[in-house]
Order: sequence, then structure tokens, then C-alpha cells
Amino acid sequence: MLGLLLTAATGLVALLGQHRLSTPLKTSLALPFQMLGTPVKLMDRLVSRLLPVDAVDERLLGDAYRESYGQLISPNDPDQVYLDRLMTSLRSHTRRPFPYRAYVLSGYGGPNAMALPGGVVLVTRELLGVMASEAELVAVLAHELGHIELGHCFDLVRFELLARHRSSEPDSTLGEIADQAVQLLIRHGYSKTTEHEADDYAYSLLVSSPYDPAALGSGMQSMARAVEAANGPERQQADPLMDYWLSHPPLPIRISEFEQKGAAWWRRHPGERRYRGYRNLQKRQSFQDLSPPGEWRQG
Amino acid sequence: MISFLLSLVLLVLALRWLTGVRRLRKLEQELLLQRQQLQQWGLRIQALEEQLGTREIGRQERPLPPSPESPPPLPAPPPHQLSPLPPRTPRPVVGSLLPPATKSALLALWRRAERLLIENWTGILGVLVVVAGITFLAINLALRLEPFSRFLLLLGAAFALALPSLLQRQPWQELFRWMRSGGAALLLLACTGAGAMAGLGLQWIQDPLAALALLGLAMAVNLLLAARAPTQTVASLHTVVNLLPLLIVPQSVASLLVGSLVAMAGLLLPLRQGWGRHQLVVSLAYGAFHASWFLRLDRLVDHQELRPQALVAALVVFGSALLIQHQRRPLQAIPPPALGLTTQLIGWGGLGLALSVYPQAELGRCLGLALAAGGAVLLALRSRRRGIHAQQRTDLLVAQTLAMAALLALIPLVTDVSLVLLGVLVEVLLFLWLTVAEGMAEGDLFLPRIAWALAVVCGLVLLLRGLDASFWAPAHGPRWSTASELAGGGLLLVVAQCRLASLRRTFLPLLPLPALLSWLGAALLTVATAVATPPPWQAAMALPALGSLLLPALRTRSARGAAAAVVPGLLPASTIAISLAHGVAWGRLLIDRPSPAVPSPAFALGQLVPLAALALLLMAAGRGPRIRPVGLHLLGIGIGVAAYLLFDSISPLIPGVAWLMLSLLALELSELLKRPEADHCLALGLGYLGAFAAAYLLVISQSPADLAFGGVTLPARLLIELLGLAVVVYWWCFRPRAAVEAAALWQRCHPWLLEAALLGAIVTILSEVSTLWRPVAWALLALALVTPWLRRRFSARLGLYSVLLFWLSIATLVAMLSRMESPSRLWWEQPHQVGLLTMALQVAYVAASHRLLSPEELARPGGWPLLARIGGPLARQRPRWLLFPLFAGVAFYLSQRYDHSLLTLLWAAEAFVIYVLSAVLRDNQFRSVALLGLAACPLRLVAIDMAESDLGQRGLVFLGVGVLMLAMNAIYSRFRERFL
Repeated sequence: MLGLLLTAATGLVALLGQHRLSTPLKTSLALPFQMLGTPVKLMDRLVSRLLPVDAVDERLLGDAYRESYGQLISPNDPDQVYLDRLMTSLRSHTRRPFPYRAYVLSGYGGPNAMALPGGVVLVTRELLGVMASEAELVAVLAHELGHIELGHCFDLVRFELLARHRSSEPDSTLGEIADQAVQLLIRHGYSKTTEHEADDYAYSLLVSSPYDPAALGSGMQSMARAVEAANGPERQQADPLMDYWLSHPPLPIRISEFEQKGAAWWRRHPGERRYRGYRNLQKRQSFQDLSPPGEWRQG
Repeated sequence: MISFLLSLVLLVLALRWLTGVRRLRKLEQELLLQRQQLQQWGLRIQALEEQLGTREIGRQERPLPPSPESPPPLPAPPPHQLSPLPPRTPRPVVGSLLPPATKSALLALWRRAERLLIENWTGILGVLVVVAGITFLAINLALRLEPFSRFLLLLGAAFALALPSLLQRQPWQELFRWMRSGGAALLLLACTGAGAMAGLGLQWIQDPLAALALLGLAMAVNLLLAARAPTQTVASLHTVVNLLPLLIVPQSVASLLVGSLVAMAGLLLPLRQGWGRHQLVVSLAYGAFHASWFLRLDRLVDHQELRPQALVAALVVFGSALLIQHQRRPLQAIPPPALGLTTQLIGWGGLGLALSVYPQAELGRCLGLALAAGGAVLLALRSRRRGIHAQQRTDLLVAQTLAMAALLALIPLVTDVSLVLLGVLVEVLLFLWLTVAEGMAEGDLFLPRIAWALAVVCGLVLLLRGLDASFWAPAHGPRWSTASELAGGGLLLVVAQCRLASLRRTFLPLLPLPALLSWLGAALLTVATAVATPPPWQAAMALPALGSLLLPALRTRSARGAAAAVVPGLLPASTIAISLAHGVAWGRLLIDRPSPAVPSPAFALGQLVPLAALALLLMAAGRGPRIRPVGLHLLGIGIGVAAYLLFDSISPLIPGVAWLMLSLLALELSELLKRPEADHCLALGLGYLGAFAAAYLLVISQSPADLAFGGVTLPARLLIELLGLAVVVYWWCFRPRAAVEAAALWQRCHPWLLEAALLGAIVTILSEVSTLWRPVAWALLALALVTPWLRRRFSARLGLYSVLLFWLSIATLVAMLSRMESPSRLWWEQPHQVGLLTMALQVAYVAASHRLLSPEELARPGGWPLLARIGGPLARQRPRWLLFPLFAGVAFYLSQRYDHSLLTLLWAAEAFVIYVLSAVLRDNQFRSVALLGLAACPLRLVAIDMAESDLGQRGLVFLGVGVLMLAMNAIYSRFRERFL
């Protein structure tokens, strides 16, 4: 038994040495914290099931957001039109009963995207400039859709929804306070977990779509370049406090994971062809309107 | 001036009065004691007299016949029962010598005051009042007379005061002597004023020489009186008062010369009397005068030419004082010893200060102090020959101090302070060696202890100097000279400690901290290695430097304790020093990494191999249960660090795997070692496991990289996790020999290895399995743990853990079904398909656990106490604890994943299954739940399904529910006895 174990360990060392595998960061505690957040998230979700609120309440809240953000956009804005086209194609992958729509945000100050309850996605105009291809933009949108589909947004506003649901004259202040308190107490523990779930959802959606599954990793890479240009290089060493308070897993780790997954997918599907759409993004024309042959990636 | 003189006189008188009062109090206390004794004796005599009187009366008087009126006589007591005498209150005897208590206290107070006034204050106060009166008169006259007339007036007053002392009348002699002393003081005042007190209107001589001559005359008179003084107090006063005028006049070489002559004369004139206190006072007064002279001349900054004269004056006076003291016969040594010691110290102190201050050249200063030290040694030898032990001791201490001062005086000459400190240390160690030899022979350890303390202080100063050089003021590059001096100091201290331990075995245990020299030596050597070399070579330098510390221990060990002495503290100090060297080297390699960021393997080995050699040496030298394990741990940690440094540059994933291998090797090695090394080897192995856990959390967990071998590609992280699990399981299965198994460490840690393995499995699932498939993974793990082979091979408590995992599977299934949505169209990425599979596995688990899990195993799972608290209720109601969660999960699954129109039918089917189970398990609670569920179904049919479903579906649902109810009725009829 000992000999077997030592042989296995030696073989593993040899393999690792041969491949010279590296890690995204020197050290990080983000993953252990993400792991620790799993049971907390499980308990939180089970508790959520006990509240008498459901998707109908969430949709009503989403309608309010849609009305509010709908006044901020111009229907003929090419970016908005482009996003609407993309969301039309993505809506077929969703399961929850929401009229999903993405809105362009101007003057936000940086590349970002956010999901709101009830099927609302916000995309900053800077993000459209940072992404390299339509597939990367779709990956980001899919990540935000994942937050809504997987109930992360619902978890953020469930007490507010409950307050609206129970009252004939909606006064959600108390509910908002309850949501914020819960977030303050437990959310930092598992926010990295939910982000990772949304990443998995986005990857799964890309695999199910005509887009390149590797676009999730490359999209994060594009994002990382923009973040690095604005804030400097990523911290390489573990810091218990910083790693705990991080809302997302560190970008290098996410990039590494989804680049690996993308590469593995292409190894398993050598005969496949997937769409990337560099020019689509530049021209703000979706894959349905423009799909030149050069934009396809062959396995 | 006059007021100063008066206050001085007053001070002296007050001192005398205080001593007189103290003496009088002692006498009074003795008198009171004797008086009380007398009183007691008087009372006893009185009692005896009364007893005698009653007996005489009883014998002479016959008893009268009783009269008819008189009461009958009392029966006489038996002869042997003598009634005791009633207690008497003492009453004053008429004509007794003793007064009553209160009266005697008042009387004693009065008599004391009377005696004090008569015996002391009449004379002293009288003289004081007379001198004061004359002083006031003189001041008054000073305003009216010429200076010379004032001088004559004062002179006359002085003679008038001194004149009665010529009468030689016995009762008044004391008073006359005091008056004569007062007259001498007045004479000194008049003569001083004649030449120097122009401000007071007393100066009438302008020629300095003439004034000096007149002053000399007055001083001579006072010195003559000092020589003829009956007591040393008077002699001291007459001598010291001569120095006061010299403080008034402008300071010059002449004033110093006169002062020195006065001091010399004061020391020599009453020589035959052998007055020690007088000698002390004169020495002290001269010291104060000399210091005042030096300071008032602004430290001779502008009078450099006076330095030789001042030095000579100090040497002559203080040297004379010392010689005079050493000339005394042994029996004339100054009592008490503290007085003699103080006199000696003042003499040597003055001499040493003069030699330190006056010579301008450092070399001259050093030579002077060295010569003085030599002189002190000679005097010590002389005192030894004459048998004056205390004097010899003081002289030796002084010689040592002077020698140290001589060496320290070289600091301005020698730029390297450490070198001077090293010289001081050498000198101190020589002193220690000499004094220890002599002290042990004579049984007096005062000087050896002092010498040891000096050696400690020198070592500490050298150490601080080294720390300053290495840490607080690091230079650019190595400091070889400082390092060699520090190393030299350290080695000297260690050698001294070894010599003391081997040749003076009985000395070290008598010290407060016998091991201190060893600790200092080791600390100096450690700092020396840090100072000497640039960081890359420090470890290499530490090998010879710190290895030398272990040589005595190695020799002792090779002699097997037969004749070799153990050097106190050397081995622990070496251990700490070696540990520090390891810590510093590891810190530099791991934290303050040099450029490039990852050191090359050769560089790392160059650092770590010497350290490993040191650890091995420590293991070889160590004896007892403390030192060798430290060496073992240092070696083990060093190997771990080496593995990290060697492999991290290749891949950061390798060090964790290497530590796993090392933990296995440490575990196996523990079988080959004796205890307690075996226990520490186990601890080391556990430490490697802990290091792997840390590496996993910090480094390995973030790596998604794949490994390809052959045509297979697997995640590297998964392979590492599986290897880690296998190693922990190997640890759990390992059965050490009985001695090691009984060790506290093994007993404490081994039971938790199973939980560690389980935790590892859970972490692996969390890392490698997606959220969608985790319920399946938990159910599979629960099924695996419930198998008899696993529970037999590992532990029965795996059964209980399987139940916990089963619950976890249900909980994650509910959470997954409630929120999880998948954009994929593949069946294995659909939550309801995965949920179905999970429930199948859960049902399989329930079936397996029903057959395989015994209630006894659940009730007594072992391990931590919480398990028993969970297992107890579980063992009593196992089907309910397993099946109710499963049914709840199934009901939730049905509600989430199927059309609501069919939900009533599906729930009714579930209720039917529960009903059947209640018959199989003979559990009435299941039956109740099934009936409740079934009762809810018709309600739902009426309330919801009637409104929502279309007609066809509605009919189907009603039909289904009805058939199920009929089936339940049939079952009840067939197996009626099971429900009762």
C-alpha cells in the first residue's frame, strides 16, 4: 500500500513537473471562502422557500425596473437595438417567466453589467467598447441572466418582495432594510459562490448556443485588461480580509478556469464550428443579421 | 559667611543632640524594664509577707468556744483541699521606693529634659549664643570701625573665647574646649576676612602673600587644635573648617595647594589616634573641595597648564589617605567595616577620577589607570599577607574597576568599539578565573560572583553592540571585524563556561543563573554569523560557528557521562541559537525572497544543507527528551522547506504532493525510532499533512489545470485531492507498535483522521462536482459509507455519517430544484433529470440502510460526543428519520417538476406508497401520514383541480385518486392485522 502510494505520488510529481502547471495567483483564499459559502447559501435558499413570495412577485418588481430604465434609453440607440437583438436570441434559453431585456447605461464610468430582479439586465456603454467579440458580450449577458435564472436576484430582494406582497399599499422600506441586513450578515460569505454559479450558467448557455464556449474566458480576459488598466495589476498574494470581502472570485482564477473549460470543450468537439463575431460587435449587428464565414471558429 | 558658619555649627550640634537623645532613650528603656521587674518583685514579696502573717496568726490564736447566738461553725475543709488565696489587687506600699506609674512617667520626662539641658545644651548653646552674639557685634562694629580694628576686635573675641580653656578646671573643661574651638573658628574668619573679604569690610591686607601667610597661621592654629583634639569630631571640624575659606577666595593653583596641604595635615596630624571616621570626613571634604575647585575653574578648559598640578595634588592626597589606611595594623582596621570600605572607596574613587579627568592624552589616561590598577593589586596582596580580608577584597574590586576603566579609556584611540569591549571581556574573564580559584579555596565567593556579573554585563554590552551592527544599523556588506570580535567574545564566554563547569564544578550551581554565560555566548555567536556574512552565506557560516557550541555536548555524550561534566545551559542555548538560525534562513528564503523571486535549487540547497547538518549535529549532541526532538523537528521542517523551494519553481502544485509523500515517510520512520523521537516523528508527519492542507487551500484549490497522460485528460487538482485522501486514509489504517499507539499524540489525533478523510471527500466533491450534480454525489457517498465493508474496515460511525450525507443530499436537492435552471438541452444538465436520479439513489440508500444499518451502531457510533447525541434518537426511530425527509423531498420534486393539474394524482400516489410502507414496516405513524395526505388530495381535487384542469385531465385525476383509495382499502382488508 505504501509503495503504491509513493509510486502514485512520484508519478504525479513527475507529471506535474513535466507539464509545469502554474496557478492563476500565487496564493488566494477566495476559493476556500467560496467553498465555505456553499452551506450558508444552501441554508439561505431553504429558508427562502419558506417565504410566501414567488416569481410573480419578482416579475412585478421587474416591471417597475423596466418602466424606470425604459425612460432612460433611446429606442433608436444602435447599442440598445443591438442588445435587444441579442436578448431576443438568448431569451430562448431561459426558463423563468420574465420578459428579459437588457438596457444600455450611459455615463457609468467603467465597463460593467448588472442583473436586477424580474429579468432586467443593465449593460454599461463602456462594456461594449471593452469586449472584443459578440460571443464575449453574449457571455457577459449570459452571466447576468444566470443571476436571475438561478434566483440570486430574488435572494437579494425577497424581504422587499414579501413586504410588497403582504401590504395593500406597498411600502418596501422595512423589506429593503431586512434584505440589506441579511446581505451584510451573510452575503459576503457566499457571493463568490453565486458568481461562480452564474459563470457556470453562462458557460452552459454558450455551449448550448452557436457561440464559442471559449468566449467566456476570453471575455473575462478582456474585462481583466480594462480593470488592470484602471486599477493596476491584480493582487497576487492571499489576504484573508480582502479575499473574504471580494464579491467576485478573482478574475485570473475565473479566466483560467473558463479558458481551460473552453479548451477542453474544443478538444472533445474537434468537428464543431462556433461563432465569435468580432465584426458583429463593431457594427452592432447581431449574429442573426450578419454572420460572415470568417467569424466562425473551426475545431 | 558667618551665617554659613553658624549653620554648620548648628548642624553639628543638632547631630550631637540627636545621638544624645537616642542614647538617652535606650537608657530610659532599660531603666523602665528594671523598674517593672522591681515592681513585680515588690508585689511578690508583699504577697509572701501576707501569707506568712496569716499563718502566724492562725498558729498563735486558739479558736473560741461557739456562743449560743453564733452560727454553727462551718465544716473544715479536708487537709488536702487547701482553698487558694483570693486574688489580690496590688496596692502601693507605704514608703515604697517606686512612685505610681503616671507620676513616674512625668518625672522621667522632666528629668530627661533637665539632663539634656544641663549635659549638652548649656555648653553647646552657650558657645553658639556667644559666637552668634560676637558675630552680630562684629557686623555692627564693621559699620563703624576700620577693617584692621574689626580684625583686632575679632581676634580679641577669639582669644577671649579660647582663654578659659587654659584654666584646666575639670567640671567646666568640656565647655571651655567648645569655647576654644569657637575661638579658633573666629580666628580663621578674621584671618580670611583680612585678606579676602572686602565686601564685608574686613579686608585690610592687599598683598596676597601676606594674606596667605596670615590665613596659613589661622589654619595652623586650627590644625594644631585638630591634632590635640580629644575626639575625632572636634578634629574633623578643625580640619574641615580650614577648607571653607579656600572656597571663598578666587580659585588658583595656590588655593588647591593650600587645600591639599590642609587635607594632608588633617590626615597626618591625628595619625597616632587611628581615627577612621576623621579620615573619612577629611577625605570626603577634600574630594568635595577638589571637585568644587575643578568645576569653578570651568573644568580647566582655559587652564590646561593646571592639570598636572591638580593631578599631583589629587594623587598625593588620595594616595596618602589610602596608604595611611593600609598602614594600619590589622586590629586597627576601621570599625565598622562599612566605614572602612567607604573610606577606601572614596580614596580610590578620587584617585580614579583624577586619573580619568586630568591626563589629556588617552594613552596617558590609560597608563595612569592601569598603573593605579596595578597599585591596587599590590595593596591587595599586602592586605592579604596581613590578613585584612575586607581590605583586600575592596582593593581587588578597585583594581578590576580601574583596569576596566583603563581599557575603556582607549575607545577614542581605537575606532572599533567592539574590539575594546572584547578586551574588557578578556580582562574580566581573567579576573573571574583568578578570583574563582582563590574564592573556592578560601570559601569566599563574593569576588567571583562580582566577576561573573561583570562578565555577564560585558557579554550583554557586546551583544547589544552586535545587534546594533546587524539589525539597527546594517552596513552595506559584511562587517568582518565586528563579526570576528563578536564571535571571539561568544567563544570566550563559552570556553569560560566550559572551564568553570569542568574545573570548578561547585561554583556554577552557586550562581543565581548558572547558565547565563552559555546563553550569552550562543547569542553572540548567532549575531556574529548574522553580521559576518551576506544573507546567502549565513547558513553556511552558521554551521561552524554554532556547531562549535555543540562540541562540548558531543564530547560529553561520547564519554557517556562518565567523567565529562555537563556545561550548564550550553545545550539549550545552542538549541535556541540553531533554531534561530533556521528560522532566519527560512524566513529569508520564503518571505524575503532574493531576486530572482524563486531561488534556484542550488541556491536553496546551499542554504538548507548546512542547516540540516546543524540539525543532525543537534540530534547527535542532544540528550534527554527535549533537545533531540528539536533537532528532529528542525530537520523535518527544513526538508519540507527544501521541498517547497525545489519544486515551487517547477510547478506550485508539486510542493503539496511532496509534503504528502513526506508525511508518509515520517509515519513509517516513526516505527523505526524509539520514543519519544517516534512521537515527534509522528507530529512531524501530521505537520506535513497540515502543510498540505494549507497548500491545498491557498494554492492548489485555485488551479483548474488539466493533466494529460496517454489519451486521458484529468484535472490535476482532482488527482491531488485523491492522493491526499488516500494518504489520510493510510494514516487512519496505519497501526503503529504498541508503545507509539499508547502515546498521547496518537491517541489524540488518530480518531480525527477519519473525520479528516471525510472532510477531504466533501471538499473534493465541492471542488470538482457542479452544483447540479452535488445531490447525486452526496447520495452516492452516503451509499458508499453504508456498505458493511467500509464500516468494518474504517469505523462503525461511517453509518451515522452516511445518514447525515443522505440528509444533505435531500437538502441540496430541494435547494437545487427550487432555484436551479439550466439553459442546456442535454438531459444530464436538466435539474429534474438529475433530481430523479438523486431520488432513486436516495431510495436505494433507504433500502440499503434498512438492511445494513443496525440501531446499535447508530446509537453508539464512537468518535466525538455529538455523534452519539444524533445517533440516539436516530436509532430509536430510524425509518421515520430516513423516510419522512425522503417523502418530503419527493413531494417537493413532484410539485416543482410536474404539471399542477397532475399534482393531486401524484401526491395521492406518494401517499399510497407511504400507506403500503406502513403495512410493511408496521408503523402506524406512516399510516397516519398517508391517510392525512390522502385526505388532503380530495380537498385539492375540489378546491383547485375542479377549477383549473380541463375535463379530461380532471377525469383522469379523479379516476386515479379513486383507484388509489380503493387499493388502499383492499390492502387494509388484506393485511388488517398489520395495522392493529
